[in-house]
Amino acid sequence: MTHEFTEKDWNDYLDGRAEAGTEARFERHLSACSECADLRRRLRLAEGQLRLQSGYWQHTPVLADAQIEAAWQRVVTRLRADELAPERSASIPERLRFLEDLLMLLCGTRTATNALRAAAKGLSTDAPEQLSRDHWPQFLTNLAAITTIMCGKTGAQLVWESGKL
Amino acid sequence: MGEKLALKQFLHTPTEDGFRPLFGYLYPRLHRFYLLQGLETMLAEDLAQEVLLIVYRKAAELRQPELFYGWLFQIARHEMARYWRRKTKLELVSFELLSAELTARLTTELPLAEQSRLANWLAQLEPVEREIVSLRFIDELSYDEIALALAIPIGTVKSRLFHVRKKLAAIIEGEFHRDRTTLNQTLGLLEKQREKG
Ligand SMILES: [Zn+2]
Repeated sequence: MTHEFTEKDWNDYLDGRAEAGTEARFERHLSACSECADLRRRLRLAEGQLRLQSGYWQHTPVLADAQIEAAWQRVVTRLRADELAPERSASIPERLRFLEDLLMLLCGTRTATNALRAAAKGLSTDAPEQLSRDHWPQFLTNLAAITTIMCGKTGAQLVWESGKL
Repeated sequence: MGEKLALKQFLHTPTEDGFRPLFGYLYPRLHRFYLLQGLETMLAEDLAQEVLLIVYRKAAELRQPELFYGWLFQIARHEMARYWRRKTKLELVSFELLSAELTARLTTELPLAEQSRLANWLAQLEPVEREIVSLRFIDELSYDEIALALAIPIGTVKSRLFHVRKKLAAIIEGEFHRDRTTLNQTLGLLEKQREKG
């Protein structure tokens, strides 16, 4: 409350959206109260500056078109991965097929096959399709690490999140 | 295609093709919002992508299309809080806690900081105040949309905004005063040098 007006009244008044009665009360009060008139003057000055600077931010692009396009490609890849994704708690062969499709999408066919083999290496078996559920977490960790190197962090995150059984 | 039309088209046809034009508008918007909240540009990009994935997936759940931007920024704030929770491993994080670390970065890491005094002003506000200024003055949301984004009643939006307007007026005046003092000091030095020479 500043004199007889609430903060909400003041805000409406500054926006030029106070109701007719309130607007008239403001004008009457401001012509008699130098403290409030001074407040209005300072607020309007600041608002002018704020709008000027906001305009600058609104009209100066921070991102280049190529960055926006790259972001779009990353988002689209994830959207398509969603469509490929089987239901959770799928079997290992199903999850593997999904990861292979995903990796193909992210970094090409040959890389996909190589990555899966490399991630399984040294676990119970070298053949990914023979992995047991016990080995799956380690396999997935390996695969995410390999994906990071071969096709970047975003891809690796995706492999990690969607590979969980 | 303008942003309004792109939005209309997407809400009518929420497919990948329908989303692309709108993405071109929303991605820079969200990125800018995060920058102005004090996040680094890489993180701002990551979060903006997360938000747009959610927008695409949940577009069908949007009940009031006229409040689209309120919904958009509600998701944006939610994602920022989620990021912060993951980072701090705390269960509940209020936006106030973001303050110290982010404020320190805001003035130094923004790519446009040198050219924009706005970033400096925002850095002197609390995170909740910063949000409301961004939403109102830069993204030009309606009060209904801001109320939805911040999950507070419209009356509270207005009184909070008035409070921030007063605070900003003091910050901006202080800056002008400092600029003037610096200018006067410089002029004084020049005058002295001229007298000597
Ligand atoms: Zn007064």
